Amino acid sequence: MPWREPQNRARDAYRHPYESLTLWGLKLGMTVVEVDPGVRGWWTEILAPYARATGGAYIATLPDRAQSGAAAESPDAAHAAFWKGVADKSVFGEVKAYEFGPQHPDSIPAASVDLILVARAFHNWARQGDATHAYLRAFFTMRRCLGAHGLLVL
Amino acid sequence: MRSGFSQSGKAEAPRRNGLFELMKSTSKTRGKSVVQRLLAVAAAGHKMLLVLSAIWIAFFALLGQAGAESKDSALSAAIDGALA
Repeated sequence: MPWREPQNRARDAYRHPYESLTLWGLKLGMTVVEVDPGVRGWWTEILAPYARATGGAYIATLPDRAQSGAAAESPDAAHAAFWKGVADKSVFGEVKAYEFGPQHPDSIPAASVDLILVARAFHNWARQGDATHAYLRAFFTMRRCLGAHGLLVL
Repeated sequence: MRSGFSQSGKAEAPRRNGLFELMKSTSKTRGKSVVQRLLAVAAAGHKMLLVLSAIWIAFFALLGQAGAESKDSALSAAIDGALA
């Protein structure tokens, strides 16, 4: 049963997910972190099933409850919506998620991640003081190796 | 008294002074000027370059073919939303 939303698949022609992900270094069995994927994010629909099928792991970072106030949606509501979106384990596998943000930069274990996907987030962090610096420092710590494909900025 | 003949009466072999003398005496370069010899060397180098280029192109063609064959089918299936 195809699980991707039709409107998401329609954007494949513009985002070229296969070419993009292979260029960024995605490989079988990798541990991938997607930063703030939202509710069943466009990349989540691809990355989580891929990780499940290839023996890898998909990890999402969710809004930090300690940093509520700026977002239009409460962190609790965002968490609940995310888990609802990836509830089908036969498709998305054992998804992991951590609260992550400048207040909790170390929530993901150090040197445990192969690929970090950051999509459309930096412009938000730029409005939050030193948040960008804190996030980048956290990414640097969680990466398993210092390869060229450790961090992706979209 | 030494002469150009050995005691056995045979002529001594002419003395060679290094590679240049040897090259001068070979059939391919005998009687050719320095310019002609340089042109011959350049032509040989050009042929070698062509051969190396062909090997290089073939290597990358094989590499590309191997890359195409090792397509990540699991990723394709994930994108198609049809992963088992």
